[in-house]
Amino acid sequence: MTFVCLSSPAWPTDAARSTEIGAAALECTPRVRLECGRGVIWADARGLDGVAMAERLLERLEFLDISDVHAGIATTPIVAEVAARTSETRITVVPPGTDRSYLAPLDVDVLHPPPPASFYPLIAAIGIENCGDLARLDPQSVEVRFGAEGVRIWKLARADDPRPIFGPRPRELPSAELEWVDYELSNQEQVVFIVNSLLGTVTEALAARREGAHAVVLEFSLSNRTMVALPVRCSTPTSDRRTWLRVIRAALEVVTFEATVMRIALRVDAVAPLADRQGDLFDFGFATARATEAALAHLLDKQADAIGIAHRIDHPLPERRLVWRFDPADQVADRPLPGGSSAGLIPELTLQILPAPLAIDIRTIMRRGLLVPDRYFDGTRNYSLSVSLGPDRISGGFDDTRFERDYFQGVRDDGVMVLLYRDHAADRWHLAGWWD
Amino acid sequence: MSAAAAPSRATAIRSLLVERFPNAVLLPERSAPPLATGVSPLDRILPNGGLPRGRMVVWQSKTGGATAILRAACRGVANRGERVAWIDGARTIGPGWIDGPLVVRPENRDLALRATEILLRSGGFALVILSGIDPDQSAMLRLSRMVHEGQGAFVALTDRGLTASIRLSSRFLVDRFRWSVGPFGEVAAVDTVSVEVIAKASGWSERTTFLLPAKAHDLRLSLEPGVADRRGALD
Repeated sequence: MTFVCLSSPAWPTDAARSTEIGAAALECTPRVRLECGRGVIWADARGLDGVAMAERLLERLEFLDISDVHAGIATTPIVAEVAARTSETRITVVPPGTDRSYLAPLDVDVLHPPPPASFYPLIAAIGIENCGDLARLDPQSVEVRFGAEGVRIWKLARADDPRPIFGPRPRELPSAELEWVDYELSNQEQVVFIVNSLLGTVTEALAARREGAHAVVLEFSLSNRTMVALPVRCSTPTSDRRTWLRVIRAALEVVTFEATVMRIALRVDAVAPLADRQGDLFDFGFATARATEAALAHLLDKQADAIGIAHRIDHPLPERRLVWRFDPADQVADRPLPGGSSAGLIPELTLQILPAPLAIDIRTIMRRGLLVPDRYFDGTRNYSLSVSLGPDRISGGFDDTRFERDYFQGVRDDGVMVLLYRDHAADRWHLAGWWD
Repeated sequence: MSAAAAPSRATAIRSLLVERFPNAVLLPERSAPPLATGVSPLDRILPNGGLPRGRMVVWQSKTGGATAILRAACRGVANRGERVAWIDGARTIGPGWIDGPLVVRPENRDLALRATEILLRSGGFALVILSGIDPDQSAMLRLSRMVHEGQGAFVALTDRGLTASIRLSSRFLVDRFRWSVGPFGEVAAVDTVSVEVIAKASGWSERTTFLLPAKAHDLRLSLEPGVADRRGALD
């Protein structure tokens, strides 16, 4: 790595000027870091001609009326900074491999951050006059004699400066585009055809990176000089071309273009690594896990609220006692299987609840001073009840949510057990569900 | 002909067929091994001891304990480590369904059919059950193609059985219900119900009877969670 450090005793520190300096510097170098408060600017010269870059930067800064700027070029930040701060020449280049020898004749106070004032008498007491003398000491003795701060200064004197001036460069997300001038596209199928082609490029790039796209953006440039951006999301990160084509095709179905399409660009907006799952050879479902995930992702794309996991709550009304929470597809696919025996299972009748209670007409009979259901008509046919158990009275709620119900469990002549209730507020009978 | 003579004659015919056509495979054995449900009485009446993979089964009674038996079958298959899905087209699954299959609750009939097709075709589910909707004949044909493609077992609770390889039906036997009687001699609760299940396939008809415990009351009378109501129910 090559660092270019620009130093001046008179950097403007106000925000507006700093922004102006940053913009000017970015015209000459791809990456810049401003530390105007400390009087330095860093430029990333990796793979570039550092001297030419420094020349351009100095020219741009002179144009902004910033004078007395010196540039230091080295492979370590500390040496580049020291060169920029201490050298009398306009540009100082420290050849690679000579960083430590460049610092050796210089005083320790040129290092940055500078040593504390209490450090100087300590090194003077043992005859250390410059960075070279300090660098020659062994680390154990430096640590024993000068402590942790001494070790830091010792490392800088050896040109050992691991400061991350520039972080790792973010990887560019895959994208593809196609532009044409000879013809205009108005047919949706033609658009899909080109998108499919672009998807091939993008999904191949994603697969090579072992990543899946969560979201992509389709940009359509139209002949009326407008642009339409269509963000498309997929429920699970995938690099599967068919999956993305299906999702994009569904998204395009609701898009109408005001003019013909002249350019289509497809860029990935969000990615996630594709997990390689450790599988068990004796797991029945391992071989089909990926197909299942793809099917569930497909289902979630079409019907996001259809898949859920039931959670039971303590609401007294049976139709509100089950809450469905919707989880991402991978969680659904990975949900733990219920344990227990796989043979000799005994079925058990459980209550099936209608999503909305069905209003019914009912005929009642008097039993011990209470009206109990005897027959009911559900809109299609009459059912006779051979047994009616109840009532179980439930009331609660406030204002609009208030309820007051008498529940009866009936057994029809055909043996089906049904749950009926009388709503006292509306004086209506309802079929709540049945056992099956 | 006596009842005892019939099986021996059938066995003799089978032996003769094996002798004459040694490479022939019986129809029920031609496809993948069947999916044992773990519900012993049901497995006993199904050809080869389980639901056929890659073929459609219809349960032609929407009540009569079909949900209870199939839900137990789902648990049995899931407990063996295979995936099970239940498409609840009518959204009637009640509070007793905390564990068991992956439940899909589509908003309407078309979405239910679409979801069923996707799950069947994926091949990732050993057992898929569709309830709460009545697919028309063309939809049933499409579903049977998907089942064949995915090679899972599929049970549809519908009256249409034209494309099915096995037709199941069930009914409650009211006269065999067992009741709890209250202190005054009146019926207080249903303890167990008796269900007759009939399995029919081409050249195959078997029936069995189940005794199913009825979870008598899913209602809570106490409004305070964690406080037992007068029946002692806590949840």
